[in-house]
Amino acid sequence: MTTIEVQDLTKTYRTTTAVSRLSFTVRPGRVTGFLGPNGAGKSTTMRMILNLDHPTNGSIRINGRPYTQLRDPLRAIGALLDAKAAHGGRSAHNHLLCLAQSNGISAKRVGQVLDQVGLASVATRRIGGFSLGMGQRLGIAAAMLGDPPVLMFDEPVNGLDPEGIMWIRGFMRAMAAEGRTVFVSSHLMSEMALTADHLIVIGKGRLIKDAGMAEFVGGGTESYVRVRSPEPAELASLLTDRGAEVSSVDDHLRVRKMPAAMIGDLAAARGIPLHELVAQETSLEAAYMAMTKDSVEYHLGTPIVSERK
Amino acid sequence: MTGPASVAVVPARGAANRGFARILLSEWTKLRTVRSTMWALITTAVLMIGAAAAIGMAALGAEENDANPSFNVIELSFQGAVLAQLSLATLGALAITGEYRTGMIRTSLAAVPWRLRLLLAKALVFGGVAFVVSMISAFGAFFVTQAILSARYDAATLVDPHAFRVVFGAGLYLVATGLLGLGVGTLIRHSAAAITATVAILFVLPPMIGILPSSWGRTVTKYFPPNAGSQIAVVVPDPGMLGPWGGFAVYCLWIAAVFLAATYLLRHRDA
Repeated sequence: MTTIEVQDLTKTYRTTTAVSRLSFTVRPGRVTGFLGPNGAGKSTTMRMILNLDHPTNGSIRINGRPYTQLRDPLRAIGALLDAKAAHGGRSAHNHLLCLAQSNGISAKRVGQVLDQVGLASVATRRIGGFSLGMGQRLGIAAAMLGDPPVLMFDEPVNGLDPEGIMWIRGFMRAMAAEGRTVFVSSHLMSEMALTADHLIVIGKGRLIKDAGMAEFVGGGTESYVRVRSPEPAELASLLTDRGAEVSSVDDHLRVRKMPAAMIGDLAAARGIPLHELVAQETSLEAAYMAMTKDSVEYHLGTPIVSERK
Repeated sequence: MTGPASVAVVPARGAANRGFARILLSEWTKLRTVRSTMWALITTAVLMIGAAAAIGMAALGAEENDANPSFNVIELSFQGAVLAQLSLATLGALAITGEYRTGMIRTSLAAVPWRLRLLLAKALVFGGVAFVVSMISAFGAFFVTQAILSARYDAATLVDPHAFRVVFGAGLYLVATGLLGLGVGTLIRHSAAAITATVAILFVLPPMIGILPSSWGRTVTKYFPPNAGSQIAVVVPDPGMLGPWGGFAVYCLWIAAVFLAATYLLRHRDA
């Protein structure tokens, strides 16, 4: 049972509530995206999953156990929270060695993971001189040390160059394909659209949606063709006969399940004039924006236009 | 929290001990793989032995010592301790604040979520290393000084009254002060602030206590950490101060109190 189970999780600081009654389960064999605007409580939740921050209320189980009852935590869950959570004066090899030793992992494994992330050639160099991308790879090497069935990454592509981003996406997909539980946060829907199979969306610390990517697209988004014609009734029955779904809204028709080109061709063949024919695509991004618009911590203000005298 | 379900997964005692040995090994790797450790340890030894040699030479050339009744050939060996204690305390503080400064603490706590065990392992490893270096420094300083002084004076040997206790005690005092640094570092978490606080305890506050009203100022002076702790390295105890072992015990209690507060915060604070 390689899962992360979050139950009724709440975290309040003196005056603010970072996470509020959050419950979800992250399952194996797929990439689960953890999506939400900045300040939504993603990192706080992930720190609580690792027992770094203490929940005000609620519980978290990794593979069915509280974190402190995992026999060797690094063999149960590997995490990358921030890339540079390492002492800059230590070499990459020694950094991983002290982590490995604390969990009874062989020193041989250190070389393996350094190889896996492409840092073998800089193993003896001090971490302080690493670029952000190298730091990120080192963090992933640390996460992989115990060959854990559960992996967790907080905004792993932040600040990476395109090559690094491609590498991480491929890595996460590969880990999920091996049957591991992969939990990855992002504030960008576009990023999640490329990697995640399942999405957990939060805003202001609350769960907004927990659904498969397909369900997410179907439920949260709409795409239709907006059509205006002086003969709406005739057009509607024509399109309905050909399998479209047509509804009348205000002064126009909304046509679903038929591309705009086909609507135009059918109308032309029948001699029905069209005054407007627009494909309305609601993207995942737009769906996400619509979903979280009430829970964005800091809205961009209206630009201030200074009046010159 | 500890329902029947969780009892079953508590590892057997032997397993727990193996687990602690792993943490000790990990902490040893952490300590030996940063350069500041080597520098701080070398500095400690150089300050102790170097100062002992320099002061021994100076004493050799100063004729007024011949008639000075308080001229003490044993205590003369440990003039370097004033600074050496600072380099060990700094190393102790850095052993934990270095983790907070770099974010390593979160990586460490994810690997070893049992915070008391982690701090205990850190204290044992650091304390062990500090013990070896402090004893080498203290005995080294003693022998170097006596070798130099023997050209003109009756140099002391370890079998002289109080001599062994004072030399060994000077080493113990250094170890304890290093642990004080680790405790304060755990409490405060910031390198600069922790080192400043330690310097205040060791150097700044003791002379300031002197200006307190004598009725209770004397008691404060007597029990103030470095004043109490350093009595173990004094040959002839000052009747106004605590005895050598009593004073050192008081020092250890202070350090224990710092660790008690530090472990409470370590357990309850978000990392």
